[in-house]
Amino acid sequence: MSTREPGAPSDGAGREGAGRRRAGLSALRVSPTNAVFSLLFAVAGVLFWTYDTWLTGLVFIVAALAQYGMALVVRRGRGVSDLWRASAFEPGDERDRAILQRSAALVGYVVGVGSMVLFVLVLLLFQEQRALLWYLAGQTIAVNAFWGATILVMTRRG
Amino acid sequence: MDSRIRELRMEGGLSQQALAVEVGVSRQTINALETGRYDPSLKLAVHLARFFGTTVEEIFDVDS
Repeated sequence: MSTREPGAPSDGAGREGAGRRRAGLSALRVSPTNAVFSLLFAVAGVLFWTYDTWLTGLVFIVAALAQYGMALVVRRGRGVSDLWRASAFEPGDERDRAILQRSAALVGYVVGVGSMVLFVLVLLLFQEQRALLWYLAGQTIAVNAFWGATILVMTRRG
Repeated sequence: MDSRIRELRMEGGLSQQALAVEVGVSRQTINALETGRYDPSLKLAVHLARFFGTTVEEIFDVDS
């Protein structure tokens, strides 16, 4: 005779429920890189909302949602190309991870050395604050463009 | 590194996508393996050998 209380779930039903919860949570997983940066954008959004303007905060929160959403779409999409997976930092297999590792190493090295040299040159040549601001803006654009080009070349070459 | 993956795949009547699903990689990785643009890890090479019922040396020409 069962000693289970009426209405209480059986062990089987409990395990089934836990399995469904795990499957549901698994569908929301993204790569650690995307998880960290989405969280950073979200935190920045809250901080800007609190200490700056609500509009700046909203921009960052939207950016966080967009990054997370894109990562989810790429991760769960069928027939997504290797270029998209690498660009979104959602590697699907060992080749994707190898592409990201090689690209990150190349970009990191070039940016690390190049930005140091360029910064000193701009500082010596112009010696004014506005020039440094223009340099930082240009560097940000250049780094992202270089990252995109590197991903493209690495994906097509191997 | 040259390989016989395309030959073995076609003997089995498999598409690149089907083989990719069987060994747990993307279709682009299978294509890169067949064209010699990508060298597999040891784990993937062993999985491919087991799937085709042969040895790693029979599939991949390490001297190429």
